[in-house]
Amino acid sequence: MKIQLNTTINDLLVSVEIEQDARLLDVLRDNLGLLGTKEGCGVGECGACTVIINGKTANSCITLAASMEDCDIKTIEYLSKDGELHPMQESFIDNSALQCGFCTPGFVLSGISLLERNPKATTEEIKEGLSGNICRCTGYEQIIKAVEDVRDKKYNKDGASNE
Amino acid sequence: MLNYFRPKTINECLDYICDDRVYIAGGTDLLVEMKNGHDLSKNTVIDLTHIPELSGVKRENDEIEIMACTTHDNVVLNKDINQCLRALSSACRSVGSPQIRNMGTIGGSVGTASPASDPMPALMLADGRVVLINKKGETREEGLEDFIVKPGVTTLKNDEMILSIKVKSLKEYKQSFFKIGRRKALAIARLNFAMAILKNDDETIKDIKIVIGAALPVTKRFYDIEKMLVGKKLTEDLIEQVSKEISEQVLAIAGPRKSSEYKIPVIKNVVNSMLKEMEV
Ligand code: FES
Ligand code: FES
Repeated sequence: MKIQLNTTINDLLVSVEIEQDARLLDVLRDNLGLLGTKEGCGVGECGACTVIINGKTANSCITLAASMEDCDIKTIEYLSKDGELHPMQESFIDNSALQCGFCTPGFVLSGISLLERNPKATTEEIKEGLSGNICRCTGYEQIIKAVEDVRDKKYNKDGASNE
Repeated sequence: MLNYFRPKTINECLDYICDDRVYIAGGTDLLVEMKNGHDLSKNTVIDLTHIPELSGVKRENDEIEIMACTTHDNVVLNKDINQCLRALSSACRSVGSPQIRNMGTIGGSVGTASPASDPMPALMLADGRVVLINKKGETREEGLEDFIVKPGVTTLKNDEMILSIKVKSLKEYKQSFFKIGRRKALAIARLNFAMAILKNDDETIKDIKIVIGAALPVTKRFYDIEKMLVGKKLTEDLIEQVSKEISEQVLAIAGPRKSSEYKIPVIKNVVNSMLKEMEV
């Protein structure tokens, strides 16, 4: 059975007809053409499908789309504004933190979200914050470095903000 | 799905309860089951994600009530739980990944009755009771040990849903939670332990609680050992004796299996070091 889903995706109000049992991941990719969100494992283990729902990261492969009524969903496409990449995306490029790139959207969103919550995250805390994301190519070192760089650019050593 | 309902209040939700109902909260179990071919075409799915009164934590004196749809992450962030039940904060912090903690709920982890649940030992440590409400709006409470029958099976009736979990504050107790997982962060627990201890002024034990999860089909509290320890001092000999006794009890219940070879000595060592740690 089909139902109507009304929700906010990347700051846009969206009204879309979906199957009752559709996954958020499929609605994003197939109905809305937002292909930045990837499907890896499909069972909540790899984080390739990570999106931000009401301010917190979630795996869209195990999110029922119908549950998303009146929610605030942000995908990787939200990040770049007027052709400018988000500092986290820049940092991934600068640190060569991607090879095939399949895991990257998920890592970028997890990285942003962990720093928002804990701007002075230690390396250990960064690792924990990224623990729901799997990369088969890079070996993680560069990814962790990329997140550390964003942290360090925003904050002095003594923790005061540069902004 | 035969029907899909997304009620906004508990009352509205009760209207939809029927024999073929399936609840969805975080989705971390149900969507995986669906992916694995679990057929819901004959089921009514009741979506609990839009009922504000079903999430949050309330504290009244020594009792804390965690509403069923409170996420693991919101348990971790809750001040009352941090203050009164640190073992539960640690347990919820050790669930899955950040994403899973943002999605999965405390009611879900109790309702699915997975033997590997991380919050379960900490909930049992605090004399956890599940509060159930039926279609008529009547509530009943049941201790978690009675509610969980075996893996995947609870005493939840067809016309009931989980409303909340009530736990006792262990504010005065020294507490600890320890988990051994298969893999760094995503690990489903292979073994988890929760302990709490309260001492008299003369260093003897006033009260102690010991729970082990994931070693047995159901999470177990060691009441007989707890009772035996009251009034005693935790000497090294006693700790040795207790950890031996606990590991032997687990072996006796679980029976000799392949995994016991690994688990039994580990249980003994972990119980030993946790007790020692709590002693200092
Ligand atoms: S595709 Fe969703 S976690 Fe792997
Ligand atoms: S860059 Fe290929 S999986 Fe991470």
